[in-house]
Amino acid sequence: MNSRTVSSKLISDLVAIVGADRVLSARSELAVYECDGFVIEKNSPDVAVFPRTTAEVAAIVHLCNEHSVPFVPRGAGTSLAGGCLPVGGGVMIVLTQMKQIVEINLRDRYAVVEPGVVNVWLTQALRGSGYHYAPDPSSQGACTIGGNVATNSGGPHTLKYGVTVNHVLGFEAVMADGRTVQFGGPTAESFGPDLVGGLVGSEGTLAIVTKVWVRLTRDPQGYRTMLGVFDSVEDATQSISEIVGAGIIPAALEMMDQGIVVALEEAFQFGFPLDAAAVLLIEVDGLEAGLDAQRDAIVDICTRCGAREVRQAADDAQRAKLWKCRKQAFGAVGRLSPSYCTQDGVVPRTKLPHILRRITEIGAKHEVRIVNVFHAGDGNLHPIVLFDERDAAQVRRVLAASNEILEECIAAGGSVTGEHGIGVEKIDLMKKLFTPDDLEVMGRFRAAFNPQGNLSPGKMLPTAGACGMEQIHPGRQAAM
Amino acid sequence: MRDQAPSSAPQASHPHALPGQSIDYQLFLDCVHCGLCTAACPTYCELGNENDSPRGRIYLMRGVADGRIELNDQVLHHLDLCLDCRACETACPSGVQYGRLIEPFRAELAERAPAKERSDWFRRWILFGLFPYRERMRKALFPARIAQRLGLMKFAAVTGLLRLLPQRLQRLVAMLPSPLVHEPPLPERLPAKGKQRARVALFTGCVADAMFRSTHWATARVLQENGCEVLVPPGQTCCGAIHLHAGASEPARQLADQNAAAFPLDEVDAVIVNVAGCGAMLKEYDHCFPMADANHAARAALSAKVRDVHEFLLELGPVAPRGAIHRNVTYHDACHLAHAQKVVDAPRALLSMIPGLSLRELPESLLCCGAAGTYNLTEPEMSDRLARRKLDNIEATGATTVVTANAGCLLQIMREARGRNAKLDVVHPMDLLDQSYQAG
Amino acid sequence: MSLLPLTKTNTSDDEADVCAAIAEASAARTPVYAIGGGTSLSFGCLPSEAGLGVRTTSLAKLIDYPARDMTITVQAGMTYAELSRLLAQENQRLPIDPPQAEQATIGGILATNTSGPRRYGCGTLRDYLIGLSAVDGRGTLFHAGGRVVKNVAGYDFCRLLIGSLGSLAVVTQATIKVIPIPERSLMLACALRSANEMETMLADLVASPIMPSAVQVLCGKSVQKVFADRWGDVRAVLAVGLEGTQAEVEWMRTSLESRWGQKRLAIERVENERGEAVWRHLSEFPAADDPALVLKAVLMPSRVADFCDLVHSLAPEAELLADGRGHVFVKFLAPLDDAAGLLIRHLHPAAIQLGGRLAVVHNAEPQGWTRQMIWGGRTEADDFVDAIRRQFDPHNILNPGRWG
Ligand code: SF4
Ligand code: SF4
Repeated sequence: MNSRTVSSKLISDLVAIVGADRVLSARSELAVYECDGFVIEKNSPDVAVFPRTTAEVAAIVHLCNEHSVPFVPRGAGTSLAGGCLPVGGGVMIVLTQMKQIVEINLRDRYAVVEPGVVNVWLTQALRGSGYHYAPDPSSQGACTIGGNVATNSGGPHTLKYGVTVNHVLGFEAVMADGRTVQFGGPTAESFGPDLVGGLVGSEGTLAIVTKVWVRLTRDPQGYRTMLGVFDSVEDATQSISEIVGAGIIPAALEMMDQGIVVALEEAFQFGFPLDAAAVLLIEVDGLEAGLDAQRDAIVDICTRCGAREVRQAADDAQRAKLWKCRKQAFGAVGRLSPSYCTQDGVVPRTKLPHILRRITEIGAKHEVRIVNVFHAGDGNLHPIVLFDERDAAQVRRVLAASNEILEECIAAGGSVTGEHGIGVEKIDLMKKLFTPDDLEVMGRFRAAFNPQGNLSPGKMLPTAGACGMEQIHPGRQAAM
Repeated sequence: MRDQAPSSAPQASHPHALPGQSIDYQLFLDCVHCGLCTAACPTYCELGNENDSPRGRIYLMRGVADGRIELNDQVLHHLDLCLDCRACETACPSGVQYGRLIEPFRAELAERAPAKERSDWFRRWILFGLFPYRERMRKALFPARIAQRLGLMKFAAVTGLLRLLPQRLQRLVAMLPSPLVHEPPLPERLPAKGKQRARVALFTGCVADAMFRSTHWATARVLQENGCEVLVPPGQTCCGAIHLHAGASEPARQLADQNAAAFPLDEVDAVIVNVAGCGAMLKEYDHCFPMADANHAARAALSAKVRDVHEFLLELGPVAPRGAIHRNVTYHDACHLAHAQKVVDAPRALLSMIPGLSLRELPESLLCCGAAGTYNLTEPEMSDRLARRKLDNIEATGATTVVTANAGCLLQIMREARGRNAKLDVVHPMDLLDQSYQAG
Repeated sequence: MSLLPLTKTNTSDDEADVCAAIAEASAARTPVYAIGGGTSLSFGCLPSEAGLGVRTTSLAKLIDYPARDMTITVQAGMTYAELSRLLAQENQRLPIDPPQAEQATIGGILATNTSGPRRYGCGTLRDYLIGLSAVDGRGTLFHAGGRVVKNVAGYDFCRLLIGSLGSLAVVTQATIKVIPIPERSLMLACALRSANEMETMLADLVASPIMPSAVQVLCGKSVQKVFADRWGDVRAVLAVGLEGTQAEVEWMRTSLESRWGQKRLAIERVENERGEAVWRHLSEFPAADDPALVLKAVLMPSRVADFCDLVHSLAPEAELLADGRGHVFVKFLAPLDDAAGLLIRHLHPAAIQLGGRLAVVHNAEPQGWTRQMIWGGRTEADDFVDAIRRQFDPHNILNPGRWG
């Protein structure tokens, strides 16, 4: 579907801005940029360019406007929703060479970073300072902070610490018209509409972030980590409800269902009973003084709600081990089935038992196996549908099941994405989540920033001329 | 289309029309293109170009195998730039076996390379002439050693005489440790100290034996202190890794067979390796040489007995060393130990047993130092960038000694430290342990 | 209310009414002034164009309160006090603490981005608002966000509308994430002797493992009102709110008392009824005592002490409430007359120099105040505010003139 929309003049102009070694225009070298973590839709950019400064980004954007070609920013390309897909080709602005940590100011509790800084690099740079950057999406070892800002990333600690937008104080951005503008800054807030909040999570459709002021969070004094093993999903979700009801906000509250437990056992032998219906990983953190009481309360609640067993981590090594089973969950799934796809729905926390029941029913109806591992504290589900991609009929059933699950999330008062974003993957679902008026207002909002629509076209809003694509393959499976 | 190799591909004289077609296609399919490996990759960290990332390289190799991507100079360059450090394997949640993609792919590329390229002086003299033969190697290094003793090297470096050497040889010379202490070869058998707990065979390799014989002595003494009887079988030879990675799989297999025959596997509890690169290779003989020839079982048996020395000692339950060493040290993870053999905690655990030693965590410890076998000779620019990055990180810890368990890393870090006149000791964990045992 | 040039005022009790009123006004190009509790009508520039008042105080129903989900959905006209009462029944709260809580509505708090002393540890409304319904300048009802705590579908209008002063849309309904009421809450206060000491103390708190929910510094005459009976004539008091479980608060108290004890500072432990009174006093500060002029500055936290010092050197009569998060309220009880212009022209650049901004949030005598005096200079980002307003409110009828 790729037809070259850029001229050799544009390429030589780009080379004039950044130098030949930072422009890719050979087809062979652009291939890897034709998709991100979402591999169903592919389109190669016509050229990829690697700026190192804000001024270079601005010059590139001006050039794209002069040549009327679309342009799209890209960080590490870990989007699971096609956020980096260059719809319509054009210029891909890859920000991975803007990777300086510009400033760390502990007194005023902020850091300034360039967009290409990998999330975990900031954590590493802060190690030992007593502070950290709280948002830690599970892809934090690879994803960039620029990308986190674009998608308002979450992670396992959002229940207590919030998502990216709660930790972004401001940023500098190159706008669609090439102007460089600063929104917010080192102070906690400003006057007027909260443009920082409005732009975080806009999936690269409004501006290209070139520098970010992030808030730093004090390291907790300690942790208490527990793992509850339950005989029924209801008991597990009841425990979650009771814990929250008791006024405890865990730093993390993750749940794995029987399917995952079996897979984990096969792979790593954690010693879980194979008939356990659900396992809860619960972590509280904060002041050392309060932790034992919270732990005792949680153990007590889980036991009262029918937990068969509650394991506690006695030290860091054991804590690491308990987390390992959560973190390895996806890897372990690979052993259950040749292919799998992950969904990203959200429901109110109290609707978890309902939605899990429905997911089981939907799986049965479409004859596909579905296992669940998710951020239970936030009601953020990641049902994993197992299948064999070589079986076309099965693939169709997988898609049908995925869609039905997401519709069920909407019906339960939830959303179709808690952290992956809309991108191109869920563009059609926007119509189910929002009214035409809602979408029209969103379109107007975009027009205020991106009136020509050539910055990240075809993303997020179904109205913006995106080809209403029909999905023929589920997400998160083998590439190509 | 997607997810299968195209059935019709252009014909050529090679058994497979396109490079990569001999590779089990499922290994490509294991990669789900999630990108979680990218920031673990040294070349990507430096360049930010995904073609120089694991995901990109897998995409390129698969594209070439599919006939979808043309194998041009740019593509070759991105593949050449891979260090084969396998940090991507550690990072990949989907269990992609990257080594099993890049290694055969490169071997195929090398086999297809025009004869002229294959016979360049470097390959002929250094790779095939020296590496398998430690005595030859020691002799080759001999003049260099004398020159170093006499300070000639410094003179040559200062006056620019060194630059007259061909570039790759010049780099090899610059890597030599100084001064090389002449030590006698290890005897074929060393008795256990105290109650015997195990009997092991020590692998001494080629490069390492030539350049680090003292570390072999140290390793043997540490094993003795831990109640191990140590055998040093005379018939052993180079592990073959350098040849295999240079695309010479047949000579590599011959070396493997020679090793498989040299070790009295039934008589020992383990074959101990102290050089990470050799250890990784020996452990992987099985899948590096899958051919079902007469020696296959012997190679597999050897692989099964191979243990990294740290890994082995930790499992055995190390005897606590008692001599205090008051030094600030930091530990650099050799790729072939951490990523290829997944040995990460054991060396740290052993080092932290030494009284008085202050062990500081090295930032980006898992990132390759740029040595990577002969990489520092073949891709000097990237190798230098990574060496600088590594030394910056080492200096940031304030440590005066850096400890690492691979010959290549030791040489690379020493060279960079010398280059910037940094006062830094670069040693193998066994050197420090031995020192502590001897002092205690 | 007399502050607004109203021709008439509608009191709507459902969303459809609001839509209809705005659509009609839009067609007639009549300005629309949304009014909640009427507590912040003098925030920013004063509109002059006659128009229609849309009162939202009857739009005050509870829509949904699934307490175990820790979210609540209410209509925007509900007062903060009413919301707090509902939440308290489930032992939950929204820790925003606006002044005049019995009048202040959720919609108004949202439009003005009002926050209280707990902003230091608990954040502001932007950290709690997860969904909303609003009517734009054409009378179109739209929604954003949802009722779940984690949601990245669509643009985040929840935050966009925070602080927009009713100039982009009239908010009709809000879904808010809430948190449990802590087991225990107390405050430690100590007298400060200089601006230098103020910064030392604030920095010390940031570096300590203590996690306060509020860090406030009160300077000026109001200190007398709250703390004089203890310490006599002090110029400034640092008050630190500690909240959490019994054990946590106890630990923080001991640890803070010992930190302060080493500095030989007079310390007061403020709890129970007196505690309530002090918290209330701090929350009410910007509105209390019928002030003539109130300014709000948002600065880098480390520059707050410098700013307070500067203000006091220029206007010793100023009442100040500073905040460890970087907020400073500057309050004048008596009119400044001519001096006001001089002062404000001096303070705007000073605030910018200290890494922040300043605005007039209440002005009893607004005549003659220019946009520049009230909001300070424009930034490039303001161009985008204008662009959004043209999209949301093409006929410029929503609270026109508020931004000058
Ligand atoms: S190699 Fe592994 S981590 Fe890297 S893209 Fe492929 S599946 Fe993801
Ligand atoms: S082996 Fe090392 S250099 Fe090669 S792709 Fe993997 S991480 Fe990168």
